[in-house]
Amino acid sequence: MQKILLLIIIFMINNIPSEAQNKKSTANNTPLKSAALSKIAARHIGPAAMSGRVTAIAGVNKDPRIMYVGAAGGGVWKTTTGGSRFKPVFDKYCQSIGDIAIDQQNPETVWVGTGESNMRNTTSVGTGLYKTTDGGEFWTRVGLENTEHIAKIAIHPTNSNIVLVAAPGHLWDANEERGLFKTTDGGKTWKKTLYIDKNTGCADVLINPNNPNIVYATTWQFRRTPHSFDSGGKASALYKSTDGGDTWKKITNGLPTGDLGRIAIALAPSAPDNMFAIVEAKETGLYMSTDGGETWKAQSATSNVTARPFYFSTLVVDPTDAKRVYRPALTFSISTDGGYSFAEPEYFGGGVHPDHHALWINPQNTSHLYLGTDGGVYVSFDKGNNWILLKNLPISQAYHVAVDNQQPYHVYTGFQDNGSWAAPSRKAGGIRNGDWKSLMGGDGFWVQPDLSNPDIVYAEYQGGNMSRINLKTNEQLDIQPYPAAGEAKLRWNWNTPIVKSPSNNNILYTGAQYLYKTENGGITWQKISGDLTTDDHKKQDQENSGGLTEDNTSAENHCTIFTIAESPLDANQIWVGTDDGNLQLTTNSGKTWTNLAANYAKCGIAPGSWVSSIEPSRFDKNTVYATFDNHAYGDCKTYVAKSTDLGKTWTLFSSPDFKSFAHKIKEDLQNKNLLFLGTEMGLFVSIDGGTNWTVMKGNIPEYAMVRDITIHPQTNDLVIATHGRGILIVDDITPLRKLSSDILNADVAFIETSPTPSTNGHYGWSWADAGEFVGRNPNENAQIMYYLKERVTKGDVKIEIYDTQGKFLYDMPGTKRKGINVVDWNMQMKPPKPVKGGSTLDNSGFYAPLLPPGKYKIKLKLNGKEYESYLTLIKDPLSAHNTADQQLQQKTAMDAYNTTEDLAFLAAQIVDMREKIAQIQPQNNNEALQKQLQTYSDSLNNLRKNIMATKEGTNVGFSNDEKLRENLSKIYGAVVSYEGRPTDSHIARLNGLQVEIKDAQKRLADINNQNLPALNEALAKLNLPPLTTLSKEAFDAMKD
Amino acid sequence: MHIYKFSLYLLTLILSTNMLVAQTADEIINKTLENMGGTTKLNAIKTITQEGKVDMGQGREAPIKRYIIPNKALRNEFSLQGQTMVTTIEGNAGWAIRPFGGNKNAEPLPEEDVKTTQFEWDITGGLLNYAQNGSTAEYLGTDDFEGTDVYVVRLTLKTGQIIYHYIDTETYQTLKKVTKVKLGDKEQRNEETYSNFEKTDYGIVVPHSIGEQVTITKTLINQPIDDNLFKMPAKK
Repeated sequence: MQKILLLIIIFMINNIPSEAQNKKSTANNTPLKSAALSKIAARHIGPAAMSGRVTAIAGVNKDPRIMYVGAAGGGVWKTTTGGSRFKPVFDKYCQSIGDIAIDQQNPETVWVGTGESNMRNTTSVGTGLYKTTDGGEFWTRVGLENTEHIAKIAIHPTNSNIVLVAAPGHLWDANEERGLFKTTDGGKTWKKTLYIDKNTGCADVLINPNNPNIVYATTWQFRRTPHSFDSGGKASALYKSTDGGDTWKKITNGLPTGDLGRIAIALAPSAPDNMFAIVEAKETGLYMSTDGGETWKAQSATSNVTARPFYFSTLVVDPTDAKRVYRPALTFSISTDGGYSFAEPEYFGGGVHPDHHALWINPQNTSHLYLGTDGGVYVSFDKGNNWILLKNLPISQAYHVAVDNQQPYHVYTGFQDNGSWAAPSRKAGGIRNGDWKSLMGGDGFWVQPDLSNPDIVYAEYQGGNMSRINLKTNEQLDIQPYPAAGEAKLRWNWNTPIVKSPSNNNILYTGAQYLYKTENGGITWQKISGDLTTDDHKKQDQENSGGLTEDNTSAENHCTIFTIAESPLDANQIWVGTDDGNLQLTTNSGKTWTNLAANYAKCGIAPGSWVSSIEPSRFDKNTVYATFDNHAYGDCKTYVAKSTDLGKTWTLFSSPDFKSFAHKIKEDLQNKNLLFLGTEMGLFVSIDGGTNWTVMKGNIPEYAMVRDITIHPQTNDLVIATHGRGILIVDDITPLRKLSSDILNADVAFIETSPTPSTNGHYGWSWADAGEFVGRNPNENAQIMYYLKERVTKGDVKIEIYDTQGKFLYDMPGTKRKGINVVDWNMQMKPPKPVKGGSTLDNSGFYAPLLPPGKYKIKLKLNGKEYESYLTLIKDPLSAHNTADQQLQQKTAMDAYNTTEDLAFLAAQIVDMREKIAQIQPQNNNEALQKQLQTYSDSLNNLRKNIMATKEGTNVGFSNDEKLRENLSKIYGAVVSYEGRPTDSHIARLNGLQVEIKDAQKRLADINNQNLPALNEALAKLNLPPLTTLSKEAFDAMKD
Repeated sequence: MHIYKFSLYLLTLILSTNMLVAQTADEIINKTLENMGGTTKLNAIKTITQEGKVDMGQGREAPIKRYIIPNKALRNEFSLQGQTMVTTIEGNAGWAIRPFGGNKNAEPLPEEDVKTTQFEWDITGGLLNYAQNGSTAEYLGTDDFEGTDVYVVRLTLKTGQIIYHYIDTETYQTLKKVTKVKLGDKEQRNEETYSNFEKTDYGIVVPHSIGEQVTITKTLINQPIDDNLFKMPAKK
């Protein structure tokens, strides 16, 4: 019925003259879709050495090996092995995780609330509440889309359809979608049952496990601005419900009066009337109740228990021991007397990473704990006294990344809570945790290598504390500029820029409210500007930041320089962006400055936006790109713009796929229309100068928090700093540079890839040991890349490879996906025909010598058509071997190759003849003939057993049955797998084996001569066809 | 005139979107089975015999054979250098010959392998007669598979095993299957992709490309299959 209706309508529409039809039709341009780019994929190099910030841990009570870990910027990871291996299960969705709850009645059902609720300055933004019913294979968003933060999810212990969610709500502005939400139909519909006002949300919710009608929730009034944090107000309070969370009454008895801040609550599962609360107030304290939260009493506690209540809200009582209370916060504290006193089992620095946000206790064995910290997940087997770090979660929150010019190049980066690090971009066997080298502690941000000296790096910790580090001597010189006599205090951003000149390795810039430049490694800094910020005194009151609890860690420093960029085309042109909206430009190395802030506001960007990055073009002196981030005022729009007149006028880029605020715009080094954009929710690419944007999600989480992007000038790798998945690398983006609308509009088009070194590879990869993350190396195969406008649904896709003389080598299957296809080619010849007839396989049949450098024609065949292109192989620049050695290798390899085929022919003749004999044997009863046939077959079989391993059975691998074939295979393997010259012994041995083969060939000839003539005579007499030996032609034509 | 035209466009839009989204699991499964050849033909299949090859790289191929008695027995053969690896299941047991390391004897198949191999003896991937077989089906929404829009349908079998079908929204062909089976402690998860769908002489449509390396060259329906093929051979 629908079909008919549709047809009628189409008919009618086609017959109405339309305005649209009269307009000039625009070019039929196939847009670049995200799925088309999936094969331009990133590899993850970690690190997981110090892991990253964990915000939630939930385990399955019935099977504690199954756990879900939520990260602040790294999504959700699942383990089914108690933590020895994890896999990400939430990569299509928001990576900032607030809480995770498992329906213990049906553990395949898991709820994830997005939006970390530990309200630090860099906390990200969520997109709502998600649910899976198959253990994470599929997720659906079920509501709370505009809460931006979810702190706690509580599931009714016996009715899985009832779920309560505490949503604190927006951090930076007022909003109504916050408070306590309840569903009674498994998430289909929601009711906001506890709501105070648009400045106050819910920070916690707790269900009494014995009587689920009793529910507790805490409300929290809080707000962050770019320069301060205010936790607390009249609207924060503790609430109790006795009807399952529908109606609420405020609890005040025994709790502090006046403004309250964040309140964390816990109850003892074994004695739920015993409750604990950490109440932020003028004097934050620990409170206890023995009557189910009706009345409370203050309990004295150390600062470890009460410090930073806005940030530490974890309080957990042992499932079976009501006297055992855990307070994971700055450090890990335990009470064994029901909260009256807390002790730390491990001193700070000797045990776990400080700053804790999650704790899960195995109810089947309460000595078994998992702790989520700002430095990863730890496991304890003794109730929290001793811990082991799980080193397989690569969830570090990188801020910026730089690369150097070593071979291979190294990446340099700084992480939230986890210092500054460097690592090789590739390493034989994979990039392991131990390959990451720690440079400096604290919170890391910018790191810059000295390109002329690999021992020198520049790094910092929060608030502008920067050092020059000598990696060899392990010395650190503090190079932070200090105010001169009489000068005002310097205002350093939490994330102070340390930026190099693109054209002069000796020049470094940094900025407080002034811009500084050094040419001698920080010994001397020149101040090359005045105050470039708004210097708004109202925004410089960080000493009083925190609200009820003073919290001034430099995180709220404001009116500071945030981004610096010198033009690659003109060293006198320097751009500075500040966190309070100024966009400053000098074209005379700092003698004079112009603030262009008023100009960018005209193109639709909120005035006063934090300038997050500036990218002066390397193609045109007057062109510049910039990103602006206004999320700190509650505006998460993606602001990225371009100017072609040195900042006088700006054009705002836009895309329906943009989701959140922008951090970094990067222009390609060679193709001026190729742009990359890092945002809080996703990495984007444009191939047309910014008109259209596409999400890059090839092995990159769709909502990855992309903070920084750089491109290596030699390898053309795209190196990405993510704030929750560490460092990602998309190797060699040369093909992306070639992507054009011509290609996208074609049905089939090749995309040229870089000439590939002919090599079997130097890096490889090893499987990770359980418990250890290993970063992947680049793919060293040659890659055949082509674009298909439509998926191939009928027939095969074949790729034919021709050698440098144009002779057909072999074909291989091509992939059929819509968009870009990438097929790997290992650049090897066809392997030699294997020596068949032994008990095991001939290993020589599995690999072959490498093909030499040159131009190789390739043909792509699909849908009945043919398309041609070329692949270029080049000499391996990393080869340690001179030409003479390489030539000897090639000669010997081919010699071994041909010898293998000689032996294969010999073996095939033996096998063939024995099969023919076996076919004739049952065809007659002649005793004499049978005897002759058997003799012949036995002689052949003895020869066979002589020249190859023939022992059968289960322990063949240990039986050491090495004959001619195995010996030859060993030499073949040794010579072919090494790209330099073989040893003298290899060559001598090969010659020796060739003699043995000649010998065997003679013996075969003898056996044949002794048996065949008489046999064939006898067969003729019986009117049976003669036995013929396998010819070389027939053998060559055989498929192996 | 403008309003009329606009609402027509709107109506068209609504109706055409409807046709993409309309579906329940049942509707999708029925269309998929229809495209496969229809339930009558599918139910009348007694045996399936397939031949094909696996691309081993650089022009080498390994011949394969497959014999299926739907939902009862299956035998896979894979040959390299003249030696043949055999994996067979019949009912809830199975055996295998893995000759490449030198052992030519048949060994019983571990339960784990039997259960995962059983997914292969139903070429409809559990869709045919799913309700009668005690399976439940759930439509999970649309997804992207290699640039193509697909419907995702989850089948939960009576035994607890789960099969996800990724079905092309235009052609109603299963392009990918994910199977999950729990064996005591472990969960085994497998993925398989399909393309190059061919109509057999018999009249059903089967994928002739599995994954990126396997090509089926021949599919014969209802050819007689020697029962002995499924019986474990004696030790040598």
